[in-house]
Amino acid sequence: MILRSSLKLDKAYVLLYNLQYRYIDMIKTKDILPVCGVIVAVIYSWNLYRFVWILPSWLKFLTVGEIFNILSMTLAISFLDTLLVLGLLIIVALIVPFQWFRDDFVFRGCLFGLYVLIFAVYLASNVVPLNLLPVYSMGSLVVFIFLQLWGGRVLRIRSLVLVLADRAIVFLYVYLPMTLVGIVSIVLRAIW
Amino acid sequence: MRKIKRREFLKMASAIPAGVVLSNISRRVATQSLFQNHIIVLVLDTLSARNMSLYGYPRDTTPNINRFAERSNVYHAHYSGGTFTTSGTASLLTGTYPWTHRAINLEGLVSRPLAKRNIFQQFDSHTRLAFTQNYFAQYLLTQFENDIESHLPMGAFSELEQYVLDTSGAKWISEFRAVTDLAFAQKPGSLALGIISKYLKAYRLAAINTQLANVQRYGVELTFSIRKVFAGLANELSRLERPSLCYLHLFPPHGPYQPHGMFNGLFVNGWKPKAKPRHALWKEETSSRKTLNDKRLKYDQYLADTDHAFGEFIDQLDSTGVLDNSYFILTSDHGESFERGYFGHAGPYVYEPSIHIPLLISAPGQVTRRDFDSVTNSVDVLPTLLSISGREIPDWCEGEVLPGFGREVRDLQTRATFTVEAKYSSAFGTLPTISIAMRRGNFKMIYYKGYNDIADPYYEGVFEMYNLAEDPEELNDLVNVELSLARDMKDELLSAYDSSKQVRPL
Repeated sequence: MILRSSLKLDKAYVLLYNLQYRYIDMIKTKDILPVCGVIVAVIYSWNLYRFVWILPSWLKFLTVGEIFNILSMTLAISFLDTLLVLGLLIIVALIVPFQWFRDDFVFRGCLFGLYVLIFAVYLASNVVPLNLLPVYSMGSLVVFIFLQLWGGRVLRIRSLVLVLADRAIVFLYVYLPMTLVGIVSIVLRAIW
Repeated sequence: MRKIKRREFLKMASAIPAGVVLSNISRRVATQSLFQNHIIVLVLDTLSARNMSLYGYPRDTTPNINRFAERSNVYHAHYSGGTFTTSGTASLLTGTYPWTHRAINLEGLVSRPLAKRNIFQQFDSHTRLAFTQNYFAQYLLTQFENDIESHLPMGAFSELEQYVLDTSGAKWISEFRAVTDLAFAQKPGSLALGIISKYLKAYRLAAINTQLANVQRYGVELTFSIRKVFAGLANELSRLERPSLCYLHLFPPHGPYQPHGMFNGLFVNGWKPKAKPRHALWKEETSSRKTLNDKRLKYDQYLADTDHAFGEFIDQLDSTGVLDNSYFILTSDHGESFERGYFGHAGPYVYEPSIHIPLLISAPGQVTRRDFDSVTNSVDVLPTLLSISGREIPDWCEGEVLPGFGREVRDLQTRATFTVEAKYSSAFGTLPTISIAMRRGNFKMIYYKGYNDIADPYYEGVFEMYNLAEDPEELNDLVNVELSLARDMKDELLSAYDSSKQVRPL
């Protein structure tokens, strides 16, 4: 009886330990930063590219203040996009076995983020009908899995991705303060 | 008799100018307060007069508009100010040509300093209602938002509306544009929320696709039944307080053409329009003659469908008594081309199918038809409405009062009107790439300029001239035949174009 209850306690302890290990200590901030940098670089750059593309037509009709508001909205939306993609990435990392993702979070996270965002850029730039979306998604997923498996073993690709991820951190220092200013301006405008 | 003192004389003299001003104002106010009618402007997008049986088209595409014409003033040589929605609608709403209002680019707006000069602002004592299903026109209405009391959403009376942010009541135009132009457009700037929204819309559309019949679909955003929209509008109009100004801008018969039911099989009798040679300017955009004829057939069927719905709309307005108290204007923002290898209305051409649009005006209680052959333009609608409601026509208005509402017909015989296509130019500058059609009397002069960089080098600056009375299909270019007249018309056209270069609102 005592033995059985102590076994139960052991199991509970292991479960709690695993939960803590999985959910709390799982991904370190220093690992998240480069992945976040890559995501921010792609999302913000695309949105700003679209912004600059439309900007000339706005210059004629809108005031500088209104264009600043549009930029603020753009940055805020990009920030939400970033949270969404990063959140998705972390959820995937929680669900799949450690050795598939967590243990090599920076490399696999960057590749995963790039895969999702490049596919999103393709979908944004092209008209892919709804009924063909699963086909396109599966096709690109196969390419992604191949890159994950093959790229992880090729030292050059691996180091290239890691170096890029490390450099991408600089985008956080550029874009996030801009976003903060934008969000503050939106809040202030909503109040007044 | 009491002698008037010097001081009293001066007092009286000083009161004279004030009295004159006051009497003018009171006369104006009296005229305006007498005007208690509705003004209803109905724009059917992309309605080419050249495809309407009302204007002599061999296919009976518009029997109901013909019926309405029996109680209207019908204008036979009416032209749009522009060749697509933005420029054409802006000319109609501001009474100015595109080179003045500068809404010349796709999704463009009226130049900021001129935005206050619009039809809604001019009728500030009326109840003002606006509704459009066209995205580009909605941008313009948003710009005039402060002058519109009731701005119905684009999805009003529709089966499915999926615009991310509708402008009706929008406080800030910048937010609207940020969200719709950028983040959630068809090519979204937002890579996560934008893509999710894009496919959610497609999913919702697919989900209702099988449930709905006889509806019009414009992209994934708008699905509606034209009859339900007309019924909703008729109901809305019957409840309006007089006097009111209503601007209604409906999508049909704009492509994609979607005729339903019996209209799907109409006009399949082998008739073919007169063949015209391909135009050399826009080579890469050419379609085969068969493709053009097939599209024309679909357009005609869709037009007949739209016309049928319009007939029901007019009957509803008649039965509720709205027409008895209304000036009803039926027109369009531009036409549609199915000739010379060119399909659509986004190109550089300014031939008749693209710019010749209908104009019918029915006055309250009018029971007879009146026909006018004078050349008129979209820019004339605003001054005409101002004139009939007893308002002053502002100096900046570039149009004239239409015949039948003031001017003698002969006054307009020598007048030149313009249609301007300049979407490939920047709205900031001197419009270096431009197509201009100038109509004066029976003659029409066309000027293509600046296409040497983006199309054919030959079209650096080319004139064409046609006598529309003898050659309505514009096949015999007279620019090198009628030399004296051509020189005269060239001078007038170039002079107007040069004047437009002075208009640089920035």
